[in-house]
Amino acid sequence: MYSNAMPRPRSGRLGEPTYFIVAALLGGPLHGYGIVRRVAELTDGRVRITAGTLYGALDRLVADGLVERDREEVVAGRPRRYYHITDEGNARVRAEARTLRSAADIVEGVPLRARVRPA
Amino acid sequence: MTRVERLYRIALRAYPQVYRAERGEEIIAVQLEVAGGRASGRELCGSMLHGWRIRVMTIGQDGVFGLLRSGVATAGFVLAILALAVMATGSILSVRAAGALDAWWLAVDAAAVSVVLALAIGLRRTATVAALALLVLFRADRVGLTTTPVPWGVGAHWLVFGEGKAAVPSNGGPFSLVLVVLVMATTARRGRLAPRPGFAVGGALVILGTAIGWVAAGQPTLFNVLWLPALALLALSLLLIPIDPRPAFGWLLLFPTLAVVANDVDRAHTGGTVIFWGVLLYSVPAALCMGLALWSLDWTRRVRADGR
Repeated sequence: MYSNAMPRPRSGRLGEPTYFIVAALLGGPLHGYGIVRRVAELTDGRVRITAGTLYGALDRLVADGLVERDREEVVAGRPRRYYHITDEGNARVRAEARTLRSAADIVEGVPLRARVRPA
Repeated sequence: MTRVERLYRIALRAYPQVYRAERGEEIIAVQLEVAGGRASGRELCGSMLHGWRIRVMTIGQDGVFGLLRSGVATAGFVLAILALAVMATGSILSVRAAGALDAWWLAVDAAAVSVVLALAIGLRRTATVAALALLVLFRADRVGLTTTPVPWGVGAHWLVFGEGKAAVPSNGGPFSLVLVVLVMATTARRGRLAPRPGFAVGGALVILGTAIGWVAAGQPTLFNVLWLPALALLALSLLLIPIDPRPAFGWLLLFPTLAVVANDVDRAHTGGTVIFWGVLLYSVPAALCMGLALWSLDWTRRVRADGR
């Protein structure tokens, strides 16, 4: 198998496209185009990932053990490979969500007047 | 194949060949489903950027000897195209100056084309023989086996740089070194390259750009726009040429070559060697440092060593 993943710290944060790609797989295995569509649905079209970004992220996620390759089928003469999230990936994306929520809470918890008061 | 698919497949060439073989069809399938009949510039750019990123990340996959071997091959192929571009330009200049294309130029052109074509279809021995023939043609002219004055031979190929025969340095110009590297490349590469139209298209783009650049310049001078379209098209041709330039190290071999070229040009103009030492001073340490860095950043082997 072709392997090109760059070693990265396992404790590192997931980038935005990568986060939504993993989140898209929480609902079950998806193929490449399915992931692209699901990410667009989850973000109301705000995040649109290209095939280059998708497969770059999938390469890293597979190498990090957060995502695994699933079954493969051929549709209209073209290969369609499915991916599913691993337990480690599930735990990781949920931890990431908690981090984001607590970060948001810090900002949301500050009274409006305090936020707009000049220094 | 539709026009959209053709465009996506061209952009896909930015990926290394090994990666394309494994993932290419999958990527194309996703792109075509997203496209809905229209090519997306964002997808095309994304493919090219990601493809080159993978190429950079997989440097060193074959170990240091593989790196060196395919690096030399890459440098050799680029130099072969560059030499071919110079031959084409020299022929045009020769026709302009003498009113006809003489036998020497025909032989040189044929040899240069043979080198590139032979490399393109993986005929290493043929490419080596053609490169040696090119070298012999230059040497033969230099030692006076041909009697016709400028614009033939060494003087003629120096016309590309806007110099007359009297200004040619005694060492015979830069192409002696180019050919040595080329011979190294043709002999070092193992295995056959699959014949693909990308080689011919890439080479043709460079030759066309060089010719157009010279015509636009009006007069052949050292600092004319001759090389601008040639280099631009050379860069574009890299996307079309299906060689796997995993080893960016190959590009490093061009630095010392350029240093020697700069030396010749400099001596022709001023008799000094300022440019030579300047380029050499920076290029050699830079090449060594980059080579060591590329070797130390052997990501793929580390990943494999992790057992993933």
